[in-house]
Amino acid sequence: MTIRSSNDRRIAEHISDENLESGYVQMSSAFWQNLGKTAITFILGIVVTLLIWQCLAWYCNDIKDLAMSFPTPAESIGYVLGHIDIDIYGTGRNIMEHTVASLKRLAIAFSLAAVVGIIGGSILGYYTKIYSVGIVPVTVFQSIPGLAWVPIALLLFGLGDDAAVFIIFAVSCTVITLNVAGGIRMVPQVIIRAAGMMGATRSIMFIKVLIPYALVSIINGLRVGLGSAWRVLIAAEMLIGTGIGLGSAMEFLRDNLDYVGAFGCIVIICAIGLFIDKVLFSSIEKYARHKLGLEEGY
Amino acid sequence: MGQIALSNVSKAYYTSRKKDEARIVLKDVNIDIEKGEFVSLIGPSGCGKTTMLNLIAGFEGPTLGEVRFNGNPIEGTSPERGVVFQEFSLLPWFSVLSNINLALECKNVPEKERSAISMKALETVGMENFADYRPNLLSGGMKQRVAIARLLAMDSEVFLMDEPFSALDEQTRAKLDNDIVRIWKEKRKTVVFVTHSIDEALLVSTRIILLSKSPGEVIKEWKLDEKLNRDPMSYDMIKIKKEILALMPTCSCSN
Ligand SMILES: Nc1ncnc2c1ncn2[C@@H]1O[C@H](COP(=O)(O)OP(=O)(O)OP(=O)(O)O)[C@@H](O)[C@H]1O
Ligand SMILES: [Mg+2]
Repeated sequence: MTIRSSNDRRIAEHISDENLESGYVQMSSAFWQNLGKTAITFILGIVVTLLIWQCLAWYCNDIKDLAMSFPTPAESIGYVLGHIDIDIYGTGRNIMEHTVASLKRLAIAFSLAAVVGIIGGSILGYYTKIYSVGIVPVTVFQSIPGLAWVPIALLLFGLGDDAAVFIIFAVSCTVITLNVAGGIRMVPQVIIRAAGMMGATRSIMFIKVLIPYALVSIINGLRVGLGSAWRVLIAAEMLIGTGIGLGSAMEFLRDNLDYVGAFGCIVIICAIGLFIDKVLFSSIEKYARHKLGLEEGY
Repeated sequence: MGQIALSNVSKAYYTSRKKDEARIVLKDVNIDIEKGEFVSLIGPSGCGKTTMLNLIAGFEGPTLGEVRFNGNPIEGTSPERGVVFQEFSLLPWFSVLSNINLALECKNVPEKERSAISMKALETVGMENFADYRPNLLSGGMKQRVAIARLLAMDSEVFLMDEPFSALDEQTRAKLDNDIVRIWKEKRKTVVFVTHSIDEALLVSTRIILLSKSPGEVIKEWKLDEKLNRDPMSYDMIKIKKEILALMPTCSCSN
């Protein structure tokens, strides 16, 4: 039997003699259906994640019998819900305030890194001569591990907020720059030539030709950049005395052996990471791929 | 000197990354093209026709010799010399209409006037019903027609066309050949037209230049008066076709 894709099956259901005549097949929009499908697979993924965690907790608590109990998903999520407007004991702030403080640092550092990375990466990618020199420092900075920036940041800014923001910026900016430059360098020559013969100014060249073509790479760079920014942010908050933020809250909770609380913080960190990646970047990436004709049909 | 002048032009490319060898792909080419001429370049595949257009367009410079436009050495691309590329060259994330509008934006045509000009160009190539499509939803021939429409809208002084119709069926091709000739007669643009088809060259050109197999040299040129009867069965046409066929290099591959 012929194997048909789900698209073909759906269209085939609606083909009749009349619309074969007209050349067009009308059917209801699949928008909600698509959204439902996406939501179901997403929820399934979360369930699998929670199951893995739950199994780990069972193993640690019921079989291995650790000295301290391993927090379960229910306990940790319960802790988060319980501290939305109640201070985490000893830090003087509730979970919302810690989260907002972390997100604020992330937003400042990451938007700076995105702007610098996209502009710098575009220039590096387009001008071959600048690239061969410029790629060296970018690669050097990129190979500095996240936390190795701590001494540099402390030297430059001392203890506090600015140092944390600097570390996040440094880590994500290099990743974004490399990805953007790589994407621009992949733009086919004939496209650049076509824009050139039309008389495209430099700004049209970058904004309407190069950057859209490299959009998938750019989004990928932003995605990886934000991922590493988020990770290093928490670590930086744990090391640099920022006083407020999910990282410092976790550090405090761990010092007081409140593992349920620390796990609660991890839940928030993961939830935010997942949201940014899956909801924000995935949809932008999908849109860009569709525009570039990398996705099937329509 | 004509509008486009290639004097003693040679072009060579390295054959490997070691850069220890270069291959000559165009050899001592001298061509002088007057304003308003319709020149067809014919020759076997790989003989350097696209290379020659690249030099005229300003995408690349010659290894030896000089390429001049209106008397000045060509230093880079210019919208005065518009190109229809041999391969797909539309911007995939813009609609057909926006692709052409972009060319007009580059020319600083006011935004309000762009779409009307673009639609007119699309009508000329019979693509007006696909203005909202994105290029990758079009067939190969349709994409090429949009690229031609882009050039028409740009209204360059020189039209450089690299096998623009080779992806099209006979009828569409014949129609577009006629359209191009009609547009050329109206606007008196200089056209440099690369084709594999001798018949097409005979139909449209005022001059045919035959290139040798690689490295490309000019073998011979034929001037065809504009008023000449272009009926492929006419005595003149058959005579020139026979001459071209007799001189046409047989092997299309170099080395
Ligand atoms: N950028 C390049 N680097 C190295 N070699 C090249 C380059 N561009 C073209 N060539 C070589 O130059 C020769 C001429 O190429 P060109 O594209 O001009 O041929 P053509 O006459 O347009 O052929 P066709 O009719 O098949 O399009 C070819 O042998 C090709 O290998
Ligand atoms: Mg060619």
